[in-house]
Amino acid sequence: MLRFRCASRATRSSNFRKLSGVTRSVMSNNNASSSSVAVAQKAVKQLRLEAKIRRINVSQAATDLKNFCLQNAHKDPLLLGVPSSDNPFRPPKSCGLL
Amino acid sequence: MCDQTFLAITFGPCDNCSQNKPLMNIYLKNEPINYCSLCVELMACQGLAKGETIHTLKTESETLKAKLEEERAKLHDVELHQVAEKIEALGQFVMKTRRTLKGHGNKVLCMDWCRDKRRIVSSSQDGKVIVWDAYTTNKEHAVTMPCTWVMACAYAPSGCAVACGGLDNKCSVYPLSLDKNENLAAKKKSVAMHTNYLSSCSFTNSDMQILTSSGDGTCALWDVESGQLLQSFHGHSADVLSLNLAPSETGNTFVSGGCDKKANVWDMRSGQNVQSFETHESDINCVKYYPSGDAFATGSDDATCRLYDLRADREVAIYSKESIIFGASSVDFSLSGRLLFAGYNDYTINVWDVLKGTRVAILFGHENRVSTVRVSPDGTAFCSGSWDSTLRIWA
Repeated sequence: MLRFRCASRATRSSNFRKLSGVTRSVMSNNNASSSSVAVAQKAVKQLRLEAKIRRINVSQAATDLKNFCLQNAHKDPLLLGVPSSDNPFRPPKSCGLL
Repeated sequence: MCDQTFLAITFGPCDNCSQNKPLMNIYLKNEPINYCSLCVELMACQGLAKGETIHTLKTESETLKAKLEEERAKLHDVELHQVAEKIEALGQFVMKTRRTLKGHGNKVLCMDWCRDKRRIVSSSQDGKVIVWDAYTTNKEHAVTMPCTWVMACAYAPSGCAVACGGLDNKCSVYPLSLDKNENLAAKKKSVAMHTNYLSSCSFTNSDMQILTSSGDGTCALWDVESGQLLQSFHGHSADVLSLNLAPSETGNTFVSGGCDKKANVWDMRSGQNVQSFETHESDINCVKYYPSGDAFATGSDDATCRLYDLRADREVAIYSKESIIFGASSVDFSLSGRLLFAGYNDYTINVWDVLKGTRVAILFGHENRVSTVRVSPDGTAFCSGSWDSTLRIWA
């Protein structure tokens, strides 16, 4: 079972990454030092940006998520289950009404 | 990954040393400059000499990362399921397959609903893209793409076109005509060009722009009419597997998830990565916004789905069970956001209670891994596509 899972990952990500890995090593031969400085500078800039954003408490965020769910629960057909007459998929054959 | 797009090599006098050499076209403070490679090396060393060594930059990035973790941890005062304790638990769910759409010859890789809540477009490994009427299960259109593994397909908001792409590294838009006999392939329009496979595509609020994500590690926004690149998004260090646009009320952002285990939130106008989340232990296969736009869920190969809140800037829930060991390939929310439908590689679909973090149902029916799950626009049903080459509509 797990072998199957790894094989699938290989087909999707590793093969394509391997293909692109070949070209990447060819590209970066010229400017190894300057590009690693540039990469590190970019990473630091990105982290500085992320550190600046304003955050709220998880309790407040969670309460908002909960309130959204509860307020919209009545509109959610999959949650409540609508009667067969309202749900176009429930009757086995869609008839001339549609 | 993104620096694999080609460096154009020009030959001429260097701006710095005035010798005729092969030039590197680089940008310094947004100004294009042509330096020869020797001058670029010298410039980089000067940068180093000013004290910004690799070492200091690395230590600064470590301290910043630690500070970020600390800030995020400070606000973690309660868990989502604790806040949700007092809510009534959900009752028994009776969801059955109401329609089975058969017709693909090979694995179904992706599907999308039309806004008319009735039509579905699906794409498969053998290159076929089919438009179905979900109520009657009839096939309305079929196109054969020139490539295999069509991993992405999307319906235009107007319902008049579909976009698809895969191993051909392109995203093509096919206008759908009412005339069934018309050859759709003739009207095909190539919109996006990437340097690796196309993993996901989505129209923005209009038929005029498409957002794509690719195995080359970038996402890009394209104008459909001219095929021009409007904005590109660099920041992932591996293949980007999925993207999702924020629900329209909340503005111009989208979230992407990739093989580097990160989920990034981007501003579409500036191309800036505004937030990044890295708590998964393996590739993120799918990302979906919560209906309010304040959070998003991810499904990953580490067999968990997680909920990240954007305003709290952290992961707030994990949906996992010890008995689930297969990766989640696709996730979607119900209309109210209370239910999370996740398709797994063990052929099942698990339905999670988003607030309480518990599983409310397991749906069996597919005979191979579930590759895509999408709830219909009006929330009355959801459709799942699988490697067993069928699509099932559950309600």
